[in-house]
Amino acid sequence: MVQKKVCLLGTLGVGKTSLVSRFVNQTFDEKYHSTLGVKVDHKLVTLEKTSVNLLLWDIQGQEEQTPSSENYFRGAHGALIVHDLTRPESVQTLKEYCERFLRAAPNAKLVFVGNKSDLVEARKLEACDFAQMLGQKNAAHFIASAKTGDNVEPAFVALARMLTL
Amino acid sequence: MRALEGENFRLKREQGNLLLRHEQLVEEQRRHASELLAENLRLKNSHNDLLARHQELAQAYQALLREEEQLNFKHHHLADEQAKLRLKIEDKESFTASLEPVIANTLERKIASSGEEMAEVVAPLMAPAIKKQIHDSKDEMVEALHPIIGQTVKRAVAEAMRKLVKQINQRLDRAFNPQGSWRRIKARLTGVPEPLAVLPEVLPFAVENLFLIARKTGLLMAHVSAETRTEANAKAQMVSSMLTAIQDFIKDALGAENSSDLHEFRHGEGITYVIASPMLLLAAFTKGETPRDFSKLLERTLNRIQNSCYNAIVNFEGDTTALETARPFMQKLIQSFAAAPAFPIKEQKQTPSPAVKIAYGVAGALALALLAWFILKPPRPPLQTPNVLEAITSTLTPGATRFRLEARMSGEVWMRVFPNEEDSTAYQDFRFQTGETYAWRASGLIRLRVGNTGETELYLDGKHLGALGAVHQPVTLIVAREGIVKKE
Repeated sequence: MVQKKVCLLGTLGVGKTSLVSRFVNQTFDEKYHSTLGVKVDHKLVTLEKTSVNLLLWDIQGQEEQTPSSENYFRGAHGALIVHDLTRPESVQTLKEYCERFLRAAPNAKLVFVGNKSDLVEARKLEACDFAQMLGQKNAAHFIASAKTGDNVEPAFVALARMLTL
Repeated sequence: MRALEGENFRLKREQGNLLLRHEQLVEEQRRHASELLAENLRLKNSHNDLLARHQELAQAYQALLREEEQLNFKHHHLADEQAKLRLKIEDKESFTASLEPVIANTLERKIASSGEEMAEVVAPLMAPAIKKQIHDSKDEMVEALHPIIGQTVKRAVAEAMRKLVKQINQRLDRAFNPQGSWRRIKARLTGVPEPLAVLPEVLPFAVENLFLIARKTGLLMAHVSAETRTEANAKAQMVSSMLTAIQDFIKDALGAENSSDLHEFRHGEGITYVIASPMLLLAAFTKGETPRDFSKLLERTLNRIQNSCYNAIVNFEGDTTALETARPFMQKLIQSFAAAPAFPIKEQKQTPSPAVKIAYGVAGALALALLAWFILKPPRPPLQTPNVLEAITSTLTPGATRFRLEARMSGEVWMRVFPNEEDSTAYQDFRFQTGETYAWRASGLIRLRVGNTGETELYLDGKHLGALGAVHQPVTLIVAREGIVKKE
């Protein structure tokens, strides 16, 4: 069975753990629990021709970037870089996360996820391709909600597909 | 004339009509009169009914007025009561005081009638309540719980010690078989007391799981389990990632990139050992008393895997089938401990050269000489301490008054102590030197086999028990709180 290491990145409280919880366990907790260090989970994703076991490294979000957390990025095959649609400032950190991650794992694939779509008016969710904006032409961008489950699985599956190409 | 007759006829006819009309009118008048009379009567009746109804309504109105007055009175009264109650509730002290007698009774009744329901309601409050109580008055809680926890822990420890000592004794009992002799020699050579040397046999070492992990990614390369020896599964993959994450976390938390890795950690009765190379981690989940050279053995296994599977390791991209060739090395390590516990795995045998054969011969002769010296040399002082025995004997009759048995030796004395008089399989051997004194505490019967009673004196709670026998005369004694109850 093929395994792939996937990191979840993003600033504090954007919903990385909730996305993993929704994707792996189909659950959502309204309470906010800050992740300490890293939590590893996994899910087997079955694609058309193959299966891939995603080892999901849910990494603690940080307000201030510290180089030491790059330990977790080493050897990663892909990353979900998450931002909070209700907090425009969380988008500001995307570029930095992206650069730091790619420094540690240059060949990794990226998927950008704008989370908490359930809290934002539909008209504000106009297509804004962060992947293009950040110069990552091969990356994908999803507007999702860990609370409703909307677009969560497609985001992870898209990354799994990119990893098996 | 005719005209007059015609006129007369017409007038007569008209008179007839008028008479007819008159009669009709009279009849009509009569009918109207009777109708009017009937209507008059009906109206009179109706008037009477209305009058009666009016009277009733007037009475009802009066009744309502009276009732309203009463309600107004009650309303004012209740308003007064409400004001009083509000004052009572706002005054927390008086409110609490007024509830006190009721609450206790209500709870008592509720618990009696539906205890389980009450338990469900109260259960969620218990943990926070206990936490708060411990936080607020730690000493009181410790005092309250000590009799329960203290006894429980004491019993558990005593029971565990009893089992361990019994196992050790059983092993020591087989001292005269080849394995026992080998153990004795080994204990003497290493300076480890014999009972400690038995520990690995009592707590056999086993490698339960071996994980070969890509150090950089944390991905599982191979997994071998002692129980199932199955293929690497998803759970094992997560474990390997988590192990790597822990390593990374330590570096991240300590902020020391060059700090050394986590080499081992304990979990319950198990220990996990982690050996690292630049590319790999080999993690062994073990149980039991770890052999001294186990880390070296792990390192050797890791090196062998690295040498044999170098290309697969370098090109590893997450496919575990690529590292199938590493599994035999891991299986060999696990199987070696499953087959021969407590002893390190033997290296592959090679045909020794003549020089090596001579060296073996010399070593064998030396070993024989050492063996003879160790058999003839008097053994070391005993390992067992009175504290150990005290823990055992105290479990015999919980709650009974304990007594103190003291032995004073004026020569070399061998002694076998049975802490449980009814269990002849559980005992401890002692070999005392001249001038040594040992004491035990016991709560039930304690049986002693003393090899040299002439040079042994026993004191029970400080009282001398008299002469036990002659020098080098063996005697079996059963001692209770009252004194020696049996001697043979």
